[in-house]
Amino acid sequence: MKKLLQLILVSSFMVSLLASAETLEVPIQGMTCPFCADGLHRKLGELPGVEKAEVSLKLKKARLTLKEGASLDKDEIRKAIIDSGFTPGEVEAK
Amino acid sequence: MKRRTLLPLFGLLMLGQLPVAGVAMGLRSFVALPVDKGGAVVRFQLERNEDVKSTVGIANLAWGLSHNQTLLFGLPYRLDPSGPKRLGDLAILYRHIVWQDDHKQGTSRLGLLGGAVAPTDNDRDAAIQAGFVATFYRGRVEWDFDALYQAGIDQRADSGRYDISRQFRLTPAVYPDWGEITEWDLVIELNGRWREGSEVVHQATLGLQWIHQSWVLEAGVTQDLNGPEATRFLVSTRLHF
Repeated sequence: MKKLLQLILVSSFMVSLLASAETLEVPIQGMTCPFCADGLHRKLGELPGVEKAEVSLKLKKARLTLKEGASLDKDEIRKAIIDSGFTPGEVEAK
Repeated sequence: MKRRTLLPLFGLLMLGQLPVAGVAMGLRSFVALPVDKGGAVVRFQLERNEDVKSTVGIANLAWGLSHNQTLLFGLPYRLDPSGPKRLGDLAILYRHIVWQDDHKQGTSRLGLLGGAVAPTDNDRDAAIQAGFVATFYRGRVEWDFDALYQAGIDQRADSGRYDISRQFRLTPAVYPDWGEITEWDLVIELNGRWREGSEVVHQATLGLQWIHQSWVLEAGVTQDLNGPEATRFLVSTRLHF
């Protein structure tokens, strides 16, 4: 029972973290112009472990390049997008 | 004689009923475009009325309290003609986006506005204000609609305004996949300004916006369609912090 609990805890942790993925992409809906997306660009770039953040108005997505060995919580990415006034999709490792 | 009559009227309009268009992407209107939480947009605007030879500078600030709550401030200052009472009243608005539908093609948003106008001169009274703003964005086109009513307190006259703004992205026709973008937008607007005791003055506005990632430069011309039939020229810049 104890091992099962540990397994569940570890699994949950692994799901919420995208450890060692160097590039992450996330679809974003609601962006309208470069000026409107500037806040999002800044917020994503300020996330811990992010080396470079890019936003594509054409592809409607953001791409995050992580520092070597860095990991990032999916929820932090989603929160940064929501705080910027947009709607995030699923974060994917590339 | 006409100029003498129009100058005080224009002064009243400018000092008592100024827009708080802090984050607007319409030239003279409010929009529901987001200000990020903790972010701020500052706008400096110059408006020249050629008919009465008057120039007013307006400073605006929009501050994002959360993803759907924004505080907007606006303060006008008459640069020309000189004389007493050049500082206008401080307009304060709270904007709450109550409905938002983001999708692949764009977004639709509805925001409610509420606030007050605080006089900066003992000779003027305060006002409370309420209204709405709606934005519809698809592909290269954005439509913004807003209306605001100011109920004057004590001796202050009631006033109101509406703005219908259409922005069309001229270039680039298609955004690049990645990388920093600069775009040009054509802006066409129908505006209306009303003050208790007068008719609504409808106006047409035509302008251009040069939009960068963290700043915007824009200019336009507004023509009254009735009433004073004044022509106004507007230049403005917005900076995101």
